[in-house]
Amino acid sequence: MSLMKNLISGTNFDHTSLNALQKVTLRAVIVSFLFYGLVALEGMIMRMVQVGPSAPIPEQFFHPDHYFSIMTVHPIVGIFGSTYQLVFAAFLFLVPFLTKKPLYSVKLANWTWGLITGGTVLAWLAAFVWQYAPLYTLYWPLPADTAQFSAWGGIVFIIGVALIMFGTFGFIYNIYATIFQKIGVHENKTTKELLISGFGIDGMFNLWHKLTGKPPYSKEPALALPVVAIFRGTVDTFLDAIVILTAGLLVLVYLLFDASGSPLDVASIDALLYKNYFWWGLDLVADGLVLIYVAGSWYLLATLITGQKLFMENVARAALMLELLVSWMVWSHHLLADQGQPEMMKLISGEMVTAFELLTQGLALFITLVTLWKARPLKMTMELKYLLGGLVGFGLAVPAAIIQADMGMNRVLHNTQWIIGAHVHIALIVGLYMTLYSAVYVLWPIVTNNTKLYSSKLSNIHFWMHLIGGIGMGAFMGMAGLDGMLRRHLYVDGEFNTWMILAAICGTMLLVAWLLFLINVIMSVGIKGLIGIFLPAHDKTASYGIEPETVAEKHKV
Amino acid sequence: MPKKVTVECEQTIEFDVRSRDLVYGFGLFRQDGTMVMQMQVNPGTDVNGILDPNDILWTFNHNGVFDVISTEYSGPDAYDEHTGKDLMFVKNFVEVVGCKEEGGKLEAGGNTK
Repeated sequence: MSLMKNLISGTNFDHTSLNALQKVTLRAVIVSFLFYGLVALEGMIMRMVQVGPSAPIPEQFFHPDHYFSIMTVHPIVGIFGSTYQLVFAAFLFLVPFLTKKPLYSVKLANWTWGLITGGTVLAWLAAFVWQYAPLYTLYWPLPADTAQFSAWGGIVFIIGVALIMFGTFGFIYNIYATIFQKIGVHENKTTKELLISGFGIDGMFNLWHKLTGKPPYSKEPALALPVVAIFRGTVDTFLDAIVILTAGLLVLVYLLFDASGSPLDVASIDALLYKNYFWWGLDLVADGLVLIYVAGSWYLLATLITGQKLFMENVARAALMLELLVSWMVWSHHLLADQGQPEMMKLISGEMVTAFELLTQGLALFITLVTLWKARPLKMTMELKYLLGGLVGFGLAVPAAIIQADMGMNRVLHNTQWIIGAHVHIALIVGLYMTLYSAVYVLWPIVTNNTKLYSSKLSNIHFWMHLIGGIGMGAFMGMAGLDGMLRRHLYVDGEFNTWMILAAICGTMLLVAWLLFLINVIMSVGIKGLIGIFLPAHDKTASYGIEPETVAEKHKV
Repeated sequence: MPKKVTVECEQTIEFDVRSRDLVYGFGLFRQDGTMVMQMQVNPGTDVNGILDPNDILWTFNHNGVFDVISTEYSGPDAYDEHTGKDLMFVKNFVEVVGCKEEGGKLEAGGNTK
């Protein structure tokens, strides 16, 4: 009976007690985790195909159009539908929480998750219904190749991606509008002061003043360090959205002309130039944003978990500024196998600046670990466990990528399972998601008004299965890559099935881990609570933990 | 594309690959499936006088027979619709002869093009 009671009503969760900010946060988190489940299922389907004919899976999945349709939407649903959604939800809650100001607009935050969800579903449908499958790389002119794909499928796909980007713009506007609001603690701050702090320049000045024996430039920086990371990372999110949107627009124009019966010449666009533009934008997210947002999240989690000040805070602030140069200049590591790419760009952008990521990421790792170390003895809570898991994830994934970002190694590793397994999947599943799970555990009592988690045993099993499954799957994919297995290739005869069976076992662990987490959440909030989260909030407050007067004052303005 | 190329040990070969439509890859693979080397093959559009080259010089130091696989995805049409077999796969494209078992040329001699 107690099981049934938990399933329907949860532990002590009361959705009517949540304010507007808490509700909008939880809505995006729930949708994000549902998309994560879809991604895990898609991954398992593709893995079964790679295992070969003996795999217990319907024959239709071995058809190339079906297989590559799944491969096309897998990253769209994973990166945008799940990761973007979760990161945006966390930051739209954290920025008001950390700056002690209300969120600029809850309505816009609702539009953000709605647009990203709708856009992801549309892109998924384009692949499911029309089997539009140019992969996320959209290498020109494949997305406009109507001899292979339906123009209408492409149009729906591009509209879906565009909606995701519009949702992203909503997030960006909301973040900056909140940071620049001159109320509460920032009532007397100028825009210039907030900008200097947002870009980490005050940290640089503080370091300089320390070196030259002057008093600190700013004793109390206007923005907390995690907000600086969010501020800085969001610049890259914006630029990336512009690149994806304009690339999508280009494809859309070609598809519309094609559908109207007067196709344009695809040869008018240089394929290599297009690749440069596309990768420049994508790496703002893949390298810049992940490293910056993640570093900021680590700093926040380390200080919240220990209750101590961050070790080397000024260096951390200045390093976030330095990341700007790194994230804007690394894209050529994707083009080391393109013989037309200038050698100097391969060397400077592809190898040297890329290798610099070892330093910036290493620094973030070091600062976080020392902060934790100095606060010993610490209780091994779920949030600390997940934070350590996140550190391990990036500790493995970043060097794996740097190994490939070398002109020699790239000759034998480019487009193999090495990069997508040992680097991308470990970075995302272990590095990023475990960091995000840590944030979920930290924020859970705050966002749900102290709802008791159903089972800590389930939490623990989830942790270990996710960690072992994630590292294992990435590692076995990486080993297959070393044996020559390509990443964007269909293998129907189980050519690499030893590695793929091992990866499938680890993938199953990931899928089961997700199911356990889902059960834990549902049993905590109950189905009633889950539905209630999507009902309008009675309490329209757009902040958390601020004195009511501050909010009231804001409304007077 | 020639059916098969026979290469003497330590001979340097220039692979110059062209595409008229999509982005492909050019990868040489050993019989055990491991990769020898690869490069991307961008379509040569020659827009505004720009022609992206897809060429590479490669010296072979070990005997063997190597297959060619496109290392870049170019759409589902590269595979058989029903069986999923790779239609761009070229079996035994390069054969290298005249090397010692541990690698290197059997007898002294200069490189040829």
